[in-house]
Amino acid sequence: MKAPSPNPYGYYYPNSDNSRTYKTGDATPFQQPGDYNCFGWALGLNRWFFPYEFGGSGTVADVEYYMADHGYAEVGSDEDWDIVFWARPGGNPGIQDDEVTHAATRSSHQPDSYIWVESKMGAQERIVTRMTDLDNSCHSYGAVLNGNRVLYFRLGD
Amino acid sequence: MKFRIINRAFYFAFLITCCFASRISYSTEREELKIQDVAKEYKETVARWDAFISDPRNIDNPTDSRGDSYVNNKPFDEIVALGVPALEYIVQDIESGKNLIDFAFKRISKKQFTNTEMWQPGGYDAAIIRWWRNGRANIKEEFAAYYEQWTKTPQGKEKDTRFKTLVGVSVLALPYAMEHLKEGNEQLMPAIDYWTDNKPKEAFEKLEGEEMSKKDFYLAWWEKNKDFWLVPQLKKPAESKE
Repeated sequence: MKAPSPNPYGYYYPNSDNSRTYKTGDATPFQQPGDYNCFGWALGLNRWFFPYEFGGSGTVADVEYYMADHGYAEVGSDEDWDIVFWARPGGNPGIQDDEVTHAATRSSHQPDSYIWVESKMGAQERIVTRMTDLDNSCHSYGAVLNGNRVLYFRLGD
Repeated sequence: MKFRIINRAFYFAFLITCCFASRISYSTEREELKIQDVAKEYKETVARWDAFISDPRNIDNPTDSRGDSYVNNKPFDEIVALGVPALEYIVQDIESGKNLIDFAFKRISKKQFTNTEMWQPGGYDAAIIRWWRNGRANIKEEFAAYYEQWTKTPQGKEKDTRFKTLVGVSVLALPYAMEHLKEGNEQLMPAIDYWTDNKPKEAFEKLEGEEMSKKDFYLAWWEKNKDFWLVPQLKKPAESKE
């Protein structure tokens, strides 16, 4: 694991802290072969995976259906999980229509009592950080970016 | 001198004819784009978009994985505005590995892939390429089958789902919907509106002082603009055999 790098995401991730953010992969040349995003990373595909590839428009319900079809079991946040998803409100009540915005894998790096995750930040770097550091990201004008953690999955045996 | 006067009279007569003919406007500006210019214009428009999103100041959220921050902008809208004639060039870019341009394909074509189609190796982009290079050869039959299913389904939620499936065959089914309209069947006008982003509907709503049914207007609009919306049909495998 590389030394902590300057965290350029503090603006969008108010909970994050440069001192506990580690870069594990470079930013990928945008729009070029080899580019990948958080979904591509979490699913082990290492390509840019569009949210509508989950089916529909990439809602929580779409992700649940996709993951079940691809051999993942949905589990609770306090259980043993491999992948976590964040989502932002989709306009309708409940979370089923919320739009997934980010995904991360559980990191092998767990230095303290917090849960640490690894994720690709869009076209930017892949990082390891505390999971809670990625919660509730938002624009300066208040619009929700990543929202809350909503789904946890474990790869089936 | 006499020749110049006749020439000038002819010119004015031509101008008056043009003005009269354009009282009813069936066309929208993008549709008048010369097809042969599309390749060049596509390349230039994509270059403008590339330049726009390369500037970090233009990206709301550089950590965006949904892609919205890169495609919700004017330069990208200009790619989409190139419409159906640009689809071939978009697919060529997808084949070369260009990311996010498939949003333009989605927005122009209105093609809806099934999960089974998308969940094959290569995902959405591979599904686009397969469909554009081969699958769309069957669009006429697909449209006919989905249309029949939709018309036979009673009003309700299931009919709405059937309609989504029907329009999901893509904008390339527009000529077949127009055939239905020619025969007096107006059921597919909402599908026409969907595929065309309401182009004939908006033009019809701007119509002033002319007595014309919506159906006739749509048919006239189609005759005027169909070259923009048609793409060369693919031969089916059986037809392409020597």
